[in-house]
Amino acid sequence: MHEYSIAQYIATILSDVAQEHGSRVQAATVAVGPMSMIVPELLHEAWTAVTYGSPLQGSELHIEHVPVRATCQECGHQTESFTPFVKCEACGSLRLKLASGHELQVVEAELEDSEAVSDES
Amino acid sequence: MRVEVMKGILGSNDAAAEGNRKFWDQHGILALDFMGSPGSGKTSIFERAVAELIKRGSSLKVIEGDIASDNDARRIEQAGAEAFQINTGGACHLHAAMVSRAMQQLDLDGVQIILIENVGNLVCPTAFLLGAHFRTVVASVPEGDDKPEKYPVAFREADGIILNKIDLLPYLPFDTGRFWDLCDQLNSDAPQFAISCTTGEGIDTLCDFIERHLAEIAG
Repeated sequence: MHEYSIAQYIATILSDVAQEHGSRVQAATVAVGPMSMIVPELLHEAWTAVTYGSPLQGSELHIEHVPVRATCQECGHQTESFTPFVKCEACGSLRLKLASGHELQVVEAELEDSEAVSDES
Repeated sequence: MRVEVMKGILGSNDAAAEGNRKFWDQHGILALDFMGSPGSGKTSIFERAVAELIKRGSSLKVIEGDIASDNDARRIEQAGAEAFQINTGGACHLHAAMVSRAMQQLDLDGVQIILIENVGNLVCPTAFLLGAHFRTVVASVPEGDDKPEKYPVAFREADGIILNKIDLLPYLPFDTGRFWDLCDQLNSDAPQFAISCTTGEGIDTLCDFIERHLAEIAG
């Protein structure tokens, strides 16, 4: 259950983005690899809790799932997986070289245009 | 308006971890971070290792991470080393900044080794680097021989793997071959240690490993 911590880190990054642009975040996209062991439902719940009462409240968090891409060190087969429990699809070995799967990144943010912000204030 | 952000979510933690590493390197200190389930015997390993390393003439301090209580820090102090207790108050892992703050509280004059016990958990601490030179995962015989398969990320990313409570092997259906085979498959680079804190078996080998790496760091 590290989703709450992760949500706090995302909130810090997005608050900075909002401040930098003098705007408000409506939505954001985060890239998440399975090796980070984030449970999407829990991250959404944590996002609601962490942003409650802050300028980020009500912003939508889109999760972009990045697969593990792995090469088997036994048979050379390439395997793709959306879980951290990745095994070679051909021979079943766990001896894999991972090329991706650790992603944990804020990719982009959708901001309110400045007119909308000034309309509200 | 869409803006590209492209920022690592854990970037600030990674930066704090790098700061910790730099600090330890500047002071010639070897730092080891131990992860494992609650009850895998991390504190018992520390008690044994602290006593042995002090006997060998090393100077070390311990950082204990727990959700609550200072029981572990008290156990370590009885074993002969100063321990700083971090209570996360609910968080299931240590952050690099918590360790930085702990380092400011400890008198590090002459200290060569810092042992860090992470919060008992095999999922959450894996993503949060602390900057330690070695991250060791601790499993124990009663937890079952399939532990590496159930927590592949922790085992894949460890710099060392400890199997604790090997004195219980005669009493439990634990297939040591299967356990180490899974570890080999997930992480053939990580040195493996079989330990019993009850009999003391394997503690010497672990301390030899720690001393060898300390010598490397000290140049």
